Amino acid sequence: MAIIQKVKTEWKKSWQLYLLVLPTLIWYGVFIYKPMWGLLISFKEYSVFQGFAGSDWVGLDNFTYLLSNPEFWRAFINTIELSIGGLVFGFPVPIFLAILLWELKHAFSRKVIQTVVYLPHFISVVIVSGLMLTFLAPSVGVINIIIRHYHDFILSIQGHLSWAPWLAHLLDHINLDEQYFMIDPAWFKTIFISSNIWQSSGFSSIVYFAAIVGINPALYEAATLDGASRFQQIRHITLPCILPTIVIMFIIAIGHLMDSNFEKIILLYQPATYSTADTLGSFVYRIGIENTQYGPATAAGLFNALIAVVLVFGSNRIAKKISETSLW
Amino acid sequence: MLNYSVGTKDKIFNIVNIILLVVFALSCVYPFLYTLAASVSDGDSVTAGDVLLLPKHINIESFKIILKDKIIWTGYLNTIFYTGFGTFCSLVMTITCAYALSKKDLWGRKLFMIFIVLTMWLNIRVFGVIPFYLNIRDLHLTDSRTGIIIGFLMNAFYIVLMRTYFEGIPADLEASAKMDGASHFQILWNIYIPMSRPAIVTVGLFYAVARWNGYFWAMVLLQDENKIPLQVYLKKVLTDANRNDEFSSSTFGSITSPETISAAIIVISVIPVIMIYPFILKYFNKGANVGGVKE
Repeated sequence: MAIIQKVKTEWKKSWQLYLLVLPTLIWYGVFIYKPMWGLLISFKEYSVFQGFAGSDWVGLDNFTYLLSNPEFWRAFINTIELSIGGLVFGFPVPIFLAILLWELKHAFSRKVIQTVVYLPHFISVVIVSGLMLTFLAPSVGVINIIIRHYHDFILSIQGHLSWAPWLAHLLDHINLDEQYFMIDPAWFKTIFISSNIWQSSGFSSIVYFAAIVGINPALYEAATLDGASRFQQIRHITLPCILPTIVIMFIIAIGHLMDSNFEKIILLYQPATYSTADTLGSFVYRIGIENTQYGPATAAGLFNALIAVVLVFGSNRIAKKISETSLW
Repeated sequence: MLNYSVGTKDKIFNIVNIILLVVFALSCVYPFLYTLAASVSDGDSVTAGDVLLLPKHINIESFKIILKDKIIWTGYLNTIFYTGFGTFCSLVMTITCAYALSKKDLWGRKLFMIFIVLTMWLNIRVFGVIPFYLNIRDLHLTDSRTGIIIGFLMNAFYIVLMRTYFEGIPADLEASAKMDGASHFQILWNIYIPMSRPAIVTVGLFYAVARWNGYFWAMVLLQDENKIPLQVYLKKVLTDANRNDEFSSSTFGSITSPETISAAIIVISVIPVIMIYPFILKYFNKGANVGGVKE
């Protein structure tokens, strides 16, 4: 057995190194890979008393149960809508922010702004949710107070607008009423996506900023000599130079599309907003952890994972084709 | 089209740029400033909507009330323990493992790396919440402090970051130490660790922030009130108080209100993060730019 011989000699040569790496490998085996095996619960009717091995195989029963469950489909559609909404509105913001920061040439102000915009990333999901509930609270929340002030302001000037009825009309239209945002299903997605953008854009801009710093300054100097405006420089130098970074970050974002930040969802949603807020992650938590329907919950997670895997490989392949940049 | 000179155009560009950045930056700090102001204002002013940026009728009653609460102290101490000890364990594992994996002649190194890095995509804690939970339960680690410490030790990303940093340390240092008969343990302890302080602090701070902020799994795994970390307690107070308003009738019209109490709780739990935040940035700049995220 050549392989055993090989292992023996390698162990003798560097047993110290194997000793150093072993605890981590065991940890990954026990806490990450062993539960992957447990994903097979998707095909079982899990019984608490008989455990994993003793539970009966039920084939695709859990999946057919899910596919006939309207709550599952609602969660699936919400997951997709929230992810795509988050990607469309959220993905460009850090790129934009990094460019703005780069164009700010005053080093100290730049440092101050960077320090401030990274901060929300380090705040816990519980605090962020708490802040959101406070800000969006009915009547006492800051957002509703601002709406109220705005109302009063419009009322006070409307009397003076008889000379311009169209303006009064327009102001009437862009009026927003005070409301209880967190129990209104129509608001949930907007609130959720904007709060994610608020929390992550600053920190995500670091990667793009590092890419811009790495651009050869001679390019900008030559462009300035040729009379290129700042906009033209952004359009023809900055953006093309950071395109590979953008593509990589985009692939990574696609790979995380199905994650949907369910921790925050279960902190913010409530039965009144399930119709727009419930995602696969929160659905799994609710039926699995709260109602102990382990089989169907695991199946829903596996379903989610399969889509994620397809997305990672698919986006990587497309990126390879169109821009010759890819993760592997 | 108006025909501005290049200088004027430049000025307009700069002004727009600064305005956009300042608006974004303000949106990032305003919630914290408001919360700080609300926490030291009196309840009626906050409820009436008089506090928007500056505090009104300054007092610290809300802080007195929450600091009398025993569970918040327990939560605080638990969080300090989970953060301190958990980060220490994570660092020991990450450093030792990254050191071994930074040796290019280690047989099987590539396989080990794939084994570890794969978990960045196959995130069992996101897609396999139930199997992960059942596994912890089968190991009898639910409702236990050990479970919280041991179940969430590693993060593949930081192993990679650490390894990349170690690979940048000149190999001749190690070679000469080996000539003097030093073991790997001695080389790691006497050469690698002292030379990688920025990277170690950076990774440690990130582990610590994740521990400090960790909520979901502590909420799922811990039932005993004596073991729950601050975040789980915070959730109970913040979201539940806002939802069923049971607080408000009992304390309405007094010097505090549910809003000021929530604000005070947010302040005392965010303060430690704000305090280490400058260090995070300082070391992050050093650690990450030297050897880490830039390939």
